[in-house]
Amino acid sequence: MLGRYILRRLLWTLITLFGVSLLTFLLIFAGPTDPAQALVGDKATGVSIDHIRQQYGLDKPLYVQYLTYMSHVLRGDLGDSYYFRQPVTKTLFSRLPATALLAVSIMVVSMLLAIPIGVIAALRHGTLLDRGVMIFQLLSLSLPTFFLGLLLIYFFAFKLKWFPVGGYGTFRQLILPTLSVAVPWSAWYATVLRSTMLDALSADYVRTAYAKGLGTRLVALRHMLRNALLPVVTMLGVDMASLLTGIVLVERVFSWPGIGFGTLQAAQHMDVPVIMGSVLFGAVLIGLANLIVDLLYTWLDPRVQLE
Amino acid sequence: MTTLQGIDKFKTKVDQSTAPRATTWWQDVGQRFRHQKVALVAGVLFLLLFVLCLLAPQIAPFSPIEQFREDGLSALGEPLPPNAHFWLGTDGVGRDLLSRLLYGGRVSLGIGIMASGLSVLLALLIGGVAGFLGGKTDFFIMRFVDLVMSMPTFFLTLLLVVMLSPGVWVVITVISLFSWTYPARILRSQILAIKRLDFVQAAYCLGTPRWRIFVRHLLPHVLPLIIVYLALGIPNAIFAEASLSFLGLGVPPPAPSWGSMIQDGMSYYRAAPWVAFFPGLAIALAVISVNLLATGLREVMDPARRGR
Repeated sequence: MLGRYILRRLLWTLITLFGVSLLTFLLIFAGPTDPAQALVGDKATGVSIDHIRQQYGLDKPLYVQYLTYMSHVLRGDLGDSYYFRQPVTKTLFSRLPATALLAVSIMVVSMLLAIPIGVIAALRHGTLLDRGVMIFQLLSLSLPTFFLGLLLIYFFAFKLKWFPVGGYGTFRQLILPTLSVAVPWSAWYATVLRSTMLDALSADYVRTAYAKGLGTRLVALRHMLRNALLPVVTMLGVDMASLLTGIVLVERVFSWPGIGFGTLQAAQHMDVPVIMGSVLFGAVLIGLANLIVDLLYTWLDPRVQLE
Repeated sequence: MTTLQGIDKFKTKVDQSTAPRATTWWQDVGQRFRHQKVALVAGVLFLLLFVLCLLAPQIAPFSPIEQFREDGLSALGEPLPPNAHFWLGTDGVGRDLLSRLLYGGRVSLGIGIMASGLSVLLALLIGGVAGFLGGKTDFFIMRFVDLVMSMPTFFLTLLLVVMLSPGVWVVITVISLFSWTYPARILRSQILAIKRLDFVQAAYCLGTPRWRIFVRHLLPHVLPLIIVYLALGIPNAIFAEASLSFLGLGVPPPAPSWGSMIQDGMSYYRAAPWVAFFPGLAIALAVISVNLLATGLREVMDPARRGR
C-alpha cells in the first residue's frame, strides 16, 4: 500500500518534471531571444553563432529539438556550463552537500524554535508573552531574508565578532545563515501552531483526557500537539518552494558555496544551461520533500490513508 | 379573514421615518472597518509612504542619480552619515540617500502593487473559470495549478529575467506569473460555492448568457476576496522585487529601487551601515503597514472570517 503510494507520488514528480522541462524548453528555444545567442552569451557573433546553432541542432524543427534535449536530460546530461567550464550535473552535484546541509539545518532549527514557542503561546494565550510572540512574528516577517542576514552579519559578525562573516566549512559559519531563514520561519510556524493548538483546546478528546485525570503538560504534549502539528506539516510541504528561495538569497549574502549561489553566479553571466539544470534540480528536490512531508503526515495521523 | 381594507389599514400604520434604514453590504463593511483601529492607522501609514514616493519629483531635495563627488563624500571617499545637507546621508558614489529612497519607493511600491494586481487578475481568470465551468475543465486547470505550485519558482524567475533582460514590466510579469496560484484556489472554491445558490440558478433559468452570469452575479460576490488577496499579495511582491534588485536582476541601474540600494550598501556596511539600513527600514515599514491593513480588511470582508 505504502509502496504503491510512493510510486504514485514519484510518478507525479516525474509529470511535474516533464511539465517544468517543457516550460523551460519553450522559454529558451521558442522565446523572443535567440537561443544560440543566449547559450554563448553576448560576446560571440557571426560565425561562432552559426557553429553553435549547428552544434546544438537549433536549425532542426522544434519538436526534434525538444526530443533531443529530453533524451539528453534522461541520460543525466544537462549540457555544459561555460562559466564554470564543466558539465552542469557536476556543478550541481558538487554544490548539493552545502545546500542540503543548510536546508536541513534551517528546517531543524525553525521547528525546534517554533514548536515550544507555539505551544507556550497557546497555553498562555492572552498574556503578555503571547502578545510578545505575535509582535515578534509580525516584525520578523516584515524583513526580507537578505536584509535580516545583513543585520545579523553587522551585529553578530562585525560588531560582536561572535561568528564569521561568511564562508563554509565550520559549525560556526553555519549559524548565521541558518538563523536568517529560521527566525522568520519559526515565527510563522509558531503562529500557525498557536492557532491550531487553540482550536485543539476546546476539542472533545482534550476534555476526555483531562477528565481521566491527565495533567496539563501530558495533555498538551501527547494529545493536543500531535493533532495541532498536522496543519503545520501540510504548510511545510506548500512552503518548500519558498524555502528554496530563502536559501538562494542567504547563500548569496553569506557566500555559501551551494546550488543557489552557483546559479546566481551563472545567471549574472547569462549561463543558461546551469539555470535550466537548477530549475529541474529544484523541481526534483521539491517533489522529494513533498513525499517526505506526506509520509510524515501519515505517521502523525494514522487516520489518514494514503491513496 | 383579512380584507383588502385590513391590509390598507395595516399599511398606514407603518411610520417610514422610524423604520430602520437598510444597510448595504459595503456600508456594513465600512462600519466594521472603523473598529479595526490598527488596520486604519496602518492604512494611513501605507498611503502616506505611497504618496511621498509618488511625489518624489516634487519633494526630493536632489536628483536620485546625481553623484556629489565633491561634497557628498568624506575626505577618505566614503559615504557621508546623515547631516543637515543630506538628511539621510549619501551612498558610495555620493548620491543623496533620501532622494534615492523616495524615487526607489516609486519602483518598489509601484511594482509591488502592479504585480499583486496582475497576479490576482490571473487568479480570477484561471481559478474563476475553473470554478465556474467545473467538470473536466476544472480538473485539468487545478492539476495545472498543482504543477505550478510544485515548481522551483525562484530559479524559473531567474531564468525568465535573464532570458528577457530586466526591466520594470518584465519584473512585474515574472513576479505575478508565480504568485497567482494560492488566490486562484481560494477564488475557485468561492465561485464553486456561489454558483450553486438559488439566485444564480434562477439567472440560468431566465436564459442569461454565461458571461453575464459570471460578470453580474458571481463577480460582485468575490470582489471582497479579490480586494483582500490584492492587499495580501503586495508584501510578497515587494519582497520578490527587492530580492531580484538585490541580486542585480531587477530594474537596471542607475534607477534606484529599495532592493538594489541594499545591495549598494552591502559593499561598505562596515564603514557606512546606514546606506543599507534605510532602504531596509523602508521595506519593513511598507510591508508591516500593508500587512496590518490586509489583515484588517480580511477580518471585515472575508466571508470565512466575518460573523465570528
